[in-house]
Amino acid sequence: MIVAGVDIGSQTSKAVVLKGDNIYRSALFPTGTDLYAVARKVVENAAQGIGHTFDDIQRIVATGYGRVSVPFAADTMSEITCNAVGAYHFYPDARVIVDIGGQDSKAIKLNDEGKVVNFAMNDKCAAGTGRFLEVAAETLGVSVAELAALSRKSGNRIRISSTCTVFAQTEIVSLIARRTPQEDIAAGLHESIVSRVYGLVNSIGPGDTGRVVMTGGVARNDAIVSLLANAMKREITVPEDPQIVTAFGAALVARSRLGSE
Amino acid sequence: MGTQAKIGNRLESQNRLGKLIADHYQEAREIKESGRKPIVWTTTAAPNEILWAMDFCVLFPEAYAATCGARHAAYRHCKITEDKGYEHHLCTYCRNGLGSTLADIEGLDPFDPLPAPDLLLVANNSCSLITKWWEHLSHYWNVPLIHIDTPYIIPGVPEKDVIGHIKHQIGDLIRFLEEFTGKKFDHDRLREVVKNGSESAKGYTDMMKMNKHNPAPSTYFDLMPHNFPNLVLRYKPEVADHYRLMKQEMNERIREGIVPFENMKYRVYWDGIPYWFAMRFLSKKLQSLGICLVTSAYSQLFAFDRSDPERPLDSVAENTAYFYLNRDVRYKAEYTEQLYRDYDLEAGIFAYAMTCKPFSITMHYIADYVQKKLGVLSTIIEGDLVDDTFFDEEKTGIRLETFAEALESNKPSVGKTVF
Amino acid sequence: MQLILDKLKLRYSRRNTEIVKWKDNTGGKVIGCLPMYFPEEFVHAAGLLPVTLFGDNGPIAHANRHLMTNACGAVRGTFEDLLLGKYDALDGVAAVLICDQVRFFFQVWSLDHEFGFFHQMWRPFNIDQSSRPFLLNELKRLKSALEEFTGNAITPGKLCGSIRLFNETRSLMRALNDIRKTRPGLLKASDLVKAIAAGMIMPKEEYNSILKELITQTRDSDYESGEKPKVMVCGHPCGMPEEEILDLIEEMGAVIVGDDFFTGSRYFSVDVPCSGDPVEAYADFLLNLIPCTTYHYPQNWIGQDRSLSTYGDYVADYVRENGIQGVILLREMYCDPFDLEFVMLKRKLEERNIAHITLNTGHEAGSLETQRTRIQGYLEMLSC
Repeated sequence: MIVAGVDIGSQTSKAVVLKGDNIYRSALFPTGTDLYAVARKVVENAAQGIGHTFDDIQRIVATGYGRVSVPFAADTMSEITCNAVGAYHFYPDARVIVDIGGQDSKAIKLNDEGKVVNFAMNDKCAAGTGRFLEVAAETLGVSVAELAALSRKSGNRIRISSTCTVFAQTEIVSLIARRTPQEDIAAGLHESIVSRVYGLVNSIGPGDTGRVVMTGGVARNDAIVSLLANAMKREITVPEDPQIVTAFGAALVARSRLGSE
Repeated sequence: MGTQAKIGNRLESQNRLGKLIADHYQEAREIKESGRKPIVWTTTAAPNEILWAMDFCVLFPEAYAATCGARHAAYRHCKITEDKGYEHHLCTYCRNGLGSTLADIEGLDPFDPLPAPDLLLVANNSCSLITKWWEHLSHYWNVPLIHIDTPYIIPGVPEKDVIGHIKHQIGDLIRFLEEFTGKKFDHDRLREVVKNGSESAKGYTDMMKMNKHNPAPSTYFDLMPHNFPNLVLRYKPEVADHYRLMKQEMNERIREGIVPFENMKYRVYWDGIPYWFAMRFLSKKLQSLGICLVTSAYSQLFAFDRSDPERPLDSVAENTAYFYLNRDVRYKAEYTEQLYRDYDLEAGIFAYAMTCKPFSITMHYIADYVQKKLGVLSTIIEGDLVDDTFFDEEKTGIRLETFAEALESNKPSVGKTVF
Repeated sequence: MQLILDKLKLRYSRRNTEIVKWKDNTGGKVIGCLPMYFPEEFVHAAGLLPVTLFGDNGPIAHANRHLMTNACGAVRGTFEDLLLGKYDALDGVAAVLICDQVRFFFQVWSLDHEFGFFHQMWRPFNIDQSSRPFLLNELKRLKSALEEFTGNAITPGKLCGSIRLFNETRSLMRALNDIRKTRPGLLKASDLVKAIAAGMIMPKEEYNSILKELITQTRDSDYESGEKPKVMVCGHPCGMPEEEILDLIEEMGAVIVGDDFFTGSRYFSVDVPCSGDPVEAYADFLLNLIPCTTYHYPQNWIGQDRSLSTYGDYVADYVRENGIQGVILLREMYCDPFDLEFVMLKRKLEERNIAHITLNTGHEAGSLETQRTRIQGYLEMLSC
């Protein structure tokens, strides 16, 4: 049985092709503007990784904001459900998932059976997302990875008061003008995004037991992970490849739908 | 005026004020520990004389919010409420109050928290949101809440009906308090409280009027914190002395030609609740631009000038009814215009508070109104009561500099002087 | 059936030009009433046509010059319409000052615009008997103001007649609303809110007969309801909820069987008692409406046994009584009373174990795509 999950995000598209019970490959491309083309390309690429072609895939489930632009998918499913299915597969004791992607972030609460019982997504703007860090890093003239490294060196974390990405940019410029050390600004920026995300996590009533899993591209940023762990006063698990968890979940959904037919 | 003027030192009254405030909170903490009096949290213009007459320890979360703002602690309290699902754009006095309460209950180290209440009293004459704020306090502290529902003073509504309705509710309040405390209400004590209040109110108003003098003996920001005694302590006889001594000090300044800062050039009106976290920044900026803030309608909120020991209950109800924020827009616009005339003001700074709708919604209109009537310059700045996430120093600085340049050229351009 | 619904929707979308047409045809006068709770029956009894003022959902350009941008969409939208001259045909405007925003912005209206009739009314925020005497005075004041404006006496007979007419409207609206409980999916939620709103902007006499015909036609429909998750949609206190959101919810596979909208249950759930003095009866009516986030229910807060939210109790009970699976909360940006109550409402729903999701709506809401993801995720959660 060969199935695939494809997750068309705002910045990157991910696919997981799953063969049998535990053979899988993933692929990842920048989304760009042609959603159909990228969806096809990313699935094909993953399939090739295990020596198959696109046509060998028996069922595909699409998720992510571009999910409706994937005509070859048998079903679409929200990234909330897919993310939950994926995370629960890797960690059956996961009860809270925090996913921070390029343009949105979400918090999901699971019950013992891995069912979603509550979730929340950031609204209005990019303040609690990867985009916020990108814009900030650009303004400081460093990469996102350098930004994280800088923040760990800070001895005096300053507070970024603007909650809007655009305004924060102005604030950074004026901080630079006042010769605030880069590492302190970086630390403040990380603090700012974490405080947004922490509010989001709280809004779902995260409880205080069970594993907390963090997924999405920003989960690779260990400065963010450790700040959030501090705020939540809980350990946070980051999967080996946090960006493909949602696509993996979609592939699992495809497998179970195929099996039940 | 000008560079030859003598520059005043800090008013001695500022030190006395600091002590009055510190003593008040010290006493409240001591009362909480000993349990000798019940504690009630109330709002600015609720019929608080009733509480003082019943010998409650009366605390004001709104005043506490201002303190937290000035001490840069409000941000943290506000953040706590956001983590609990309260929206960022909700009144930051409210969020500060709920945040410190939640922090207190959950052991999260709030900034100098108010001792926990045994009872809550709220009047909606400042805004309708405040009732909801108090409902949440009532929920978190699990104590009873009494709401004095204040009809607005609007054209067509007979004012005697408004006062009658409030008086009726005060009657219910007294009956509730008698049951709550097991004590009989003492009308003689009420008369005494109202008498102290009327003297304090008179002292406050007289003191504020000293700035009519040109040059002003004080900046408005120096006078503004002195609303605290008339708000929180006016039941005490010594509060009138505070204002008497303060007036004396200002008189001395006038006699000796002392001004609050160098190079004072413009007499300017301030509209709105101060941005408590930015007082130092604003003071420095305004002084550097030669702008002397002289007065504000904001001070009228703390006047309580209806207090009359001959008619204790009625005058308490009138203070509640005629609270400045319970008035309609036309009244506020005309009142503001009159302040410009009485204080000989040449321009105005209108301070939007992004989370305070009653103050801000009509601000543009009032600025337009005085501009049309008097041909004065106005500028609107943006910020907030106690949460600095709504405030941008750079932007505000530029706006004030532009404003000062416009004052300098002294030619209000026709038609559009609000910018 | 769809023909009538489309007719009513068209009527709603042309509401401002329809006023001009009605005036030309009848020579009558029109009073615009701001949402919510304005005693339209009094306006009707004085021989005037009361119409509810709904702002447009379009961009706000002129109002921003006068109002801060963190006022709610309903307030800014209506103000924009006023400044654009869309209300020029009105002979007067009136409002119950339901919140700080409505209160202050409505007062601003009177400063720059001349209205033949301008009336501000105070509905007590304490919803209990102690407020009744003052409320009664407010109703009498409204009555005299209308009598003075029109020269027509509002006799008890006339007022009772108007009340009966409006009660009939409400009962027809309830009958229409009941159809979505008994035959979920037959009526689209976005059609229903507009059909209800149409009744708030046109003469009730004409509207009632249209509604009767509509209800008859629904009986003839052979529509079969499928098995879809039933949801209640709450919030969006006094404006018109976005059609797109309601459609999205139903397109994604749920069926909306209940709401608490101003253009819904909030408007028609309760009737004015028809016995005794009609002004007194109206005061009782205003103290007996379904719970609202803007108001205070003193009896809940004085004793020890308090509920988190009287409004939340109402919602939770409605959900349980009508076999509803979940609640979708529409949150209008910058509605302070709702935003505060919202915190308690959410806890109440959690306490009662009712699945819910929040969607922000209004002028600054997120894109429809994000809403789609949320709704889909929520419905997947309900069906698991």
